[in-house]
Amino acid sequence: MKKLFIILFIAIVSSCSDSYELTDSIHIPDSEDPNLPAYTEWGYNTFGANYDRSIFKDSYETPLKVTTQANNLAFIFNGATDNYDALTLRFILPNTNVTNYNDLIHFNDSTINLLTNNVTVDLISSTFNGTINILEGELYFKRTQKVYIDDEIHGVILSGYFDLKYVVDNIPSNISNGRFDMVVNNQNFYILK
Amino acid sequence: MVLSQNATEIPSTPKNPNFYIGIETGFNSFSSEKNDFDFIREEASYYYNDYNSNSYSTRSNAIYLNIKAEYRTPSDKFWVSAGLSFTEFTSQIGKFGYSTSPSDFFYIKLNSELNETHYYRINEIQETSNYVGIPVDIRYSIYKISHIIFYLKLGVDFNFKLSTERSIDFETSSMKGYEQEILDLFDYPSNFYSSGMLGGGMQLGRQDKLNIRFEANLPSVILTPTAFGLLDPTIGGGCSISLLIPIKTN
Repeated sequence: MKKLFIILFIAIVSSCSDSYELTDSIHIPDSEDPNLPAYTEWGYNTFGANYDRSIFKDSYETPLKVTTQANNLAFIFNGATDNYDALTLRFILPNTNVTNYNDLIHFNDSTINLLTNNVTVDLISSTFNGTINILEGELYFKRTQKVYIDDEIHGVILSGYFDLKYVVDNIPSNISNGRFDMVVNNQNFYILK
Repeated sequence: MVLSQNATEIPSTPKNPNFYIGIETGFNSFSSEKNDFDFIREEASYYYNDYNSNSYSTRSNAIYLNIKAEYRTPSDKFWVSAGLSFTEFTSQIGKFGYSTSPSDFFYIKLNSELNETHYYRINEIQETSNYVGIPVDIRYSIYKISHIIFYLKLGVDFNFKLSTERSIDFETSSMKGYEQEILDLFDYPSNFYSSGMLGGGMQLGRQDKLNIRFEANLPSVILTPTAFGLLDPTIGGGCSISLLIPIKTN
């Protein structure tokens, strides 16, 4: 019993010690468009894009969640518009062999054409919830890197860009000039059954 | 009537001394220019979307001991001094005082190559340099009442580095092996710095006896801000206390 308490105590302390490591969102304003975060590769946990004439960027929610389910890998960007309307953008990539967040390192310098390979994109907002009809677009992982804190592996930093034009309810729209810089680890990587 | 040659002489008024020697000790505290260290991770404040660079604070302080000789004009209006100074200048980067930061450490990125980035958690970085120098001061007496004199001061000093020590306090002590590699990310101090100051103070004591001075330097300006390694101190203030004794009269 005493050993169990010690093990539980160590587990709790260990999880608490890194639960806040690199989780904060640091908004460095873009020099050309201060409404958007600058493109960075530090794991600043931010994303942002022009959403028609509005802004779509991270908010109080966990900005990125990554899920894997039956070889389908999903990148879920949770944020809000500058009117504080909640907005979620989900990129679902089929036929990916990702079982652990460390596998995301293989996306380094890779471009996902949203019109190919059965890629689907979902949009969740106050007025729409479903798969959008992509006209053109891409998700570009410019750099992926394992991040270590005091020589201990902490996660993977994903940095890149996204752009897409789409149609919803026969109305075209676009999300452009998107950029992201995220840390993915056990806190935001999910294996769905 | 012939005056006696042995008539009593009228005693002459003793002259005030013109030269003094003394010691002075004090400190100055400086603000520093905000350096853009491109290897220190930024940090948000507690208030969401209120971005301000909050990852660390800085401090720069100097404590000194001067041995000096001083000449005072016969009118006792101008006092000019020069001597030898010993200064310990300390610069620190860390989390000090009131802070909206949620942690006691900041992150330094040491390596970022290919597909790996290494951060190290730092509580504090400190640099201490010792200097020997030549201080030169001019003081001007503006008001005297009894044995108290109020004065203004203009000073400059020239300082030459004797030694430098740097250290890092890591959040994880086992990371001490990376200390030199991280310190090499910062500039090293040069061998010389100079500062100037305006100030004023109060002197107590008779001119032919021990004098005590209480003095404030405001401002104290670093004339060579890039002479230091860790930080670039610019302007500040401080205070000092001096003891002077007369050594010569006319």
